[in-house]
Amino acid sequence: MLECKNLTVAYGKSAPVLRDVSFTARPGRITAILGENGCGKSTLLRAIMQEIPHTGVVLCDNSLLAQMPPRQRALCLSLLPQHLPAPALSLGETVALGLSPRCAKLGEPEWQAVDSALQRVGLLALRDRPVSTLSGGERQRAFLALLLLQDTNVLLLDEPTAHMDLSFTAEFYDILREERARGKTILLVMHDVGDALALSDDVVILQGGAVAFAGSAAQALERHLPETLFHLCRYTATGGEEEAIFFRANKKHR
Amino acid sequence: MKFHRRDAVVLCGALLLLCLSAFLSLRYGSTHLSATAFWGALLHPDAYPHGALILRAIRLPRMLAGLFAGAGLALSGTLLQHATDNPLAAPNIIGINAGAGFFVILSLSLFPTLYSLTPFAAFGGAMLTALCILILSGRQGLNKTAVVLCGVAFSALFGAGISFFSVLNEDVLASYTAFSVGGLQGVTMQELSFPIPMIILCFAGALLLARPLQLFCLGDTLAASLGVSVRRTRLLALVLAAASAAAAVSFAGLLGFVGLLVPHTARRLTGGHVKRELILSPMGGAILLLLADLLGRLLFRPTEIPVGIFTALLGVPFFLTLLLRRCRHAGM
Repeated sequence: MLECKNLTVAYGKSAPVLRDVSFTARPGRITAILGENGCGKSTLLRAIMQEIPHTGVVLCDNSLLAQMPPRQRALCLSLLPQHLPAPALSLGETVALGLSPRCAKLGEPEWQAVDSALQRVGLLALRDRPVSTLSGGERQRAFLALLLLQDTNVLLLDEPTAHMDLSFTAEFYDILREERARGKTILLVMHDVGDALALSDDVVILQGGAVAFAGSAAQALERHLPETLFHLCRYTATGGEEEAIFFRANKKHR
Repeated sequence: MKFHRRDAVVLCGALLLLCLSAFLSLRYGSTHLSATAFWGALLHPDAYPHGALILRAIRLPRMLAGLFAGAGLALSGTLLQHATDNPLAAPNIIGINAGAGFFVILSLSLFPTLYSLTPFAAFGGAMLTALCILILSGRQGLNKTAVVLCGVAFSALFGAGISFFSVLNEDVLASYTAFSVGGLQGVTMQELSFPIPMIILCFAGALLLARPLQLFCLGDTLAASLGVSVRRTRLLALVLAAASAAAAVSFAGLLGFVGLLVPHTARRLTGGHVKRELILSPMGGAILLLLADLLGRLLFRPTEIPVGIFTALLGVPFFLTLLLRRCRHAGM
């Protein structure tokens, strides 16, 4: 479980980027953070990761993150950042770094775990390729494999599908659902409101650095929050037995 | 990290080349020693006192100076490039060499007769500059860009200071030029008694830092999320880099090139494995400096060409060949 209590972030003497943000992301649930550009979504993740100075507290499984040594923190929560590096290491070796908080030396079982993680994201065939030669989407899948290998109770993902193609995006959502079923706490920052509401159980909507709504995704839809807060139009599409909701920008508002 | 056959070949090859370079550095010099005299001086020094004296007093210190200066500067460059995630970081780029140079010219201006102060001034200047960079960039959370920019600013400041003293006191210019070009002539065992243990200590410390530094290749955010104390690791790496470079320049002068391009070459040969790079890079630096010094001694015998000139002449073609081969493989 991840609890943020009264998180405030300010750079210098300027107005706070985040104001008094409080919410709880519960185990076995996917919590989406939604908001317009510049509302403080990525700043919130950086504050949770203790990367930037802030006031307020962040609790991970009832322990104060600020008081944990870095190694212990790495055993509690992991992060898939928005901007991914391209190291010269091979894909397999890069993904294996996800095991570094747990073990110093990698034996055969650990390399098998690396292969399973790569298999899960569909990149096993590229194991020996340098990460620097992979496409943006492949790199996102590679670092997802690293995150899965780190195997923490809390997973933070910042725009994880930004470079992924549609077919793997669907597979990626399945992986997240599997992790949710394993009891993981998943906190997801996403731009696509429709996908976020379809995938997540809970939603935290940020507006101007403060929490405008924190509750279940169903409640957010019932209250027409995407329409009122983000000025979007709701569309419903039916394909076979499935019904999908998606949103488009409201041209009248523009 | 998996150890491939290629890694074993590269490391063994470098070790063999290092042994060969060290042997050649002992074997050949401006004074000709026949094979009999050389082996005799080495195995029975009492029977060959002249050869033994040359080996003990001139060639051995010079060989050790080349070996450890090259290793120290290359180690420093490797640590700096990883700590700042900047391929252009090197002791001469981030102001450590300029700091050493400034304090040397200052000591030569203030105490012109005390040339023996030079190594201490160089070491003290380099460490003081590193300290200033760490304090100032520490106010920015030891941000990697802040470290490099502070270093570049100090480099410019000390560069101006060096020009100022050169114009003010032209008598010191000749002594300073000899130091700034870099060379291993006249190095004694006594001068090496402090820098060599220092460089060995820095090397041991660097190996201990290899694991967290490996995670730096993922960027600060991911490294921190994988349990690395980014600030502490960066601080330790910078201190080790500064101490290693300061120890090397204290007896070898301002050999800038080694600390910039040898780490690049080592990185290309080790495929991004920091620990292997931290082992290969000092070996590469030592090989380059020993061979460059040997050429400098032999090509225009008895005149000696400073080692700094030949490190560039030997290193640049090798580095460019490697770079072009990589580009061809990548289809660029």
